[in-house]
Amino acid sequence: MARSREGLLVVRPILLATLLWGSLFPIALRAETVSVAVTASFAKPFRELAAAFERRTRHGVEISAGSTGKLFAQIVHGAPYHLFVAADAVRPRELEEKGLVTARGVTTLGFGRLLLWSPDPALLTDGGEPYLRRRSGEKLALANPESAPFGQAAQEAMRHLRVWDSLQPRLVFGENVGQVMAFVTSGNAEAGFIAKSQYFDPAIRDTGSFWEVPDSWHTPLPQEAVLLLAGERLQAAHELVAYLRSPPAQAEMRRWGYDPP
Amino acid sequence: MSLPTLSPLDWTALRLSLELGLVTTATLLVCGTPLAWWLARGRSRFKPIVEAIVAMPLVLPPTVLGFYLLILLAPKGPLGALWQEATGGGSLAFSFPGLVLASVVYSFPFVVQPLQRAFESMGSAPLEAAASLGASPWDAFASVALPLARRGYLTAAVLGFAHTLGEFGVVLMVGGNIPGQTRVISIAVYDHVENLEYGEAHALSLLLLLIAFVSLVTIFTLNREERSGRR
Repeated sequence: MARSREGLLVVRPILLATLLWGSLFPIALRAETVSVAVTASFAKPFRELAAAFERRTRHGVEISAGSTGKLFAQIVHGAPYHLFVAADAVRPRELEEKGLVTARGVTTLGFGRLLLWSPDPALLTDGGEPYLRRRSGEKLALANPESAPFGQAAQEAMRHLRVWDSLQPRLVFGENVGQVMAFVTSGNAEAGFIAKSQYFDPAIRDTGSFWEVPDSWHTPLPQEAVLLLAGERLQAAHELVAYLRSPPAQAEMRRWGYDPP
Repeated sequence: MSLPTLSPLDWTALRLSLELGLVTTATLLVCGTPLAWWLARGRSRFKPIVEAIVAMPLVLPPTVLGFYLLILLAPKGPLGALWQEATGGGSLAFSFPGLVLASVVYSFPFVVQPLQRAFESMGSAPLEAAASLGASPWDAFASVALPLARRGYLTAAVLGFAHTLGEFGVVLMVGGNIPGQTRVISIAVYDHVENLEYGEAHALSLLLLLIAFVSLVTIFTLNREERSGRR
């Protein structure tokens, strides 16, 4: 007993030092910065998720937001992102085909929903269909269908209703859903197709009127986390993907209006 | 050598850019003349302030101009409301007239400054001579000052036109990318690059490159003639 206690007495400072060392340095050494390219519609929720991740792990997260198409083009040309969060399934698959994604590197985090939203509380109270079939009206904004998945979904929904051609004179195109929001909130367009997550922004929530576009009218909008080759050896990037799939992060995504994967 | 072919949509963008350049340049030459004249001849102590305002678009990021224009042009914004009252509907942002307005602001110094230099460099002697011969101020301006300043006008026109063609950030923010209305050539290039359509991007970019080069060669040739002519 005595001997072991003595032993402990000797060992304790070493143990303490090791613990101290362990609690200081490995974190300092381990703390890494993950560079993430995030699709515009997911940017705000992702900022909150990233902040929670940073608090938990002390890793850093750098966020670049843009349309899925633009970020895709950047990645194809060697942009040094570790992780890419896309709003469709097509671009991640193309990146895989180009060999830019780590093995089993694509994870679906949830599904985005398309909303038609207007700051005018009366505009969409009868639902979006009568509004979209109306013969006259002010400008209607959507994201560029070529480069933004939510813009493409909006185009598909309008084609589903067979109003795409008749609405042409009223359509204006934002670079991504973020610009659509700017067009609508500045009053330059009376309504716009946005991501549900944008409506859940505290500044927007419960204002104006909105209509949720039936998701059978457009290609699904999976939010895909893509671990790129540049992030393969970055422990923090793996941890971030794991965190995004964890129950707390998933619950946060539900709060921003995403459907579960 | 055959040029890469342009799609009908790109031809529309090119035509639109040229139209925008012409309308903007014409507007600027008309509006810029009195201001440039005043700046060249005036003795007001507010002159430096006005000169600074004229030069602002040179140093401001296009995003700042775009942001303010987005607010001004909105149907409930000051300019947008005026426009809707005057024209009876239609929004000023996302429209060709809106782009003309944006381009006039954006290219303002490129037209006013060469005109101001031209008016300054002719001095007051020719006008005084004209006045002593009994010409009215307007007559003196039209038959003496304007011909003397013609190189300045050419430089201003070419610079204003070329700079408007090169406009991108402001249009991106207030244009809305509408074919035939606001999808100008620089936006078309951007779209093509985003969608990895490099052939189309090359065709349009090469065209812009040539226009810019020819414009600048024109200006430098004019400048040289002016300098050697004066000697």
